[in-house]
Amino acid sequence: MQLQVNGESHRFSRALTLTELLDSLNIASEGVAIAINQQVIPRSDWTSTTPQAADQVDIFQSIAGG
Amino acid sequence: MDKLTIAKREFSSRLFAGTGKFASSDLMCAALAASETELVTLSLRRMDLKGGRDNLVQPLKRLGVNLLPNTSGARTAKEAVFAAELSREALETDWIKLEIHPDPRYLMPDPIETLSAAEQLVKNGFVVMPYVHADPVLCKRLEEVGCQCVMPLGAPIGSNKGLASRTFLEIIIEQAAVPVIVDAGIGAPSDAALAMELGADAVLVNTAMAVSSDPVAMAGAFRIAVEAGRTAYRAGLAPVSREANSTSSLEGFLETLE
Repeated sequence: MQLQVNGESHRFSRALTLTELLDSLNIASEGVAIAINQQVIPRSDWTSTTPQAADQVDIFQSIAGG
Repeated sequence: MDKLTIAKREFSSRLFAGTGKFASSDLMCAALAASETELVTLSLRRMDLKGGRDNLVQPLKRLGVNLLPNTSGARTAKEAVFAAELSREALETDWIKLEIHPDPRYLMPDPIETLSAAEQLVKNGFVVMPYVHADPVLCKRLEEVGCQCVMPLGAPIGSNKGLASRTFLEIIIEQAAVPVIVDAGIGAPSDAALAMELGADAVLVNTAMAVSSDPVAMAGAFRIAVEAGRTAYRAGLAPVSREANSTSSLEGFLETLE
């Protein structure tokens, strides 16, 4: 299935939970936040949330700042 | 130095620090350690999936400092609330430094968006630390909507101009019922010491430490300055007078020669 992640189209062999998605993109969960269609998904829901084909997934990370 | 309490959390250090602009993660950690800060700010950005997987959070957690995410990049209250909600999940903290500065030239914080966002975020259970201009009325309004402190600026972010807003910081400090943290524009340890001498509860410094040719030494200098300023404030600064006041009696010496 095709998924929009951070503004780019990604293809996956099957639907993934957010936890599996991070894993497949080699992203550690520390300091990371995820929104689907501009709705923030609580960390505790990552293993039980599976984005659908039309969904826009945005993955954010903590960076240096003042 | 007396401890500082913000939202029931106690701090032994009154020097807060930013993590931006350091030449490397190692240098950042060394400088932050030298500053003895107990709270550092972080920003949030959408990841570049093609980029490296640097983790800034891990070394900061090893330092044992409190992590304070900021909403830098938000241009409106709506964006700031979204950024805060993301940050809450990213760093697993309810604390948020609320900063909304749409104009990149001067990075002046938008007071109207900030007050609106502060009210919403307080209602949603956040510990809101709002970054604003040194506007005494705005600071009282932020306090009234439930902010746990106020963070008035000394001068524009990264300008190192010092306490351009000094007169208004003094008013804010006099009137505040919550901690006052002077944030932005502090360019030298003497600026930090002055802020503390005026009665500020803490200062936040980033650029001045990070861009120094020796950030570790500079961080140490800021640590000393904050301690000096706070200790002096608590000891009671001597009154300022227009005229001279001799330190020894002017009589009983030269008269004997007459």
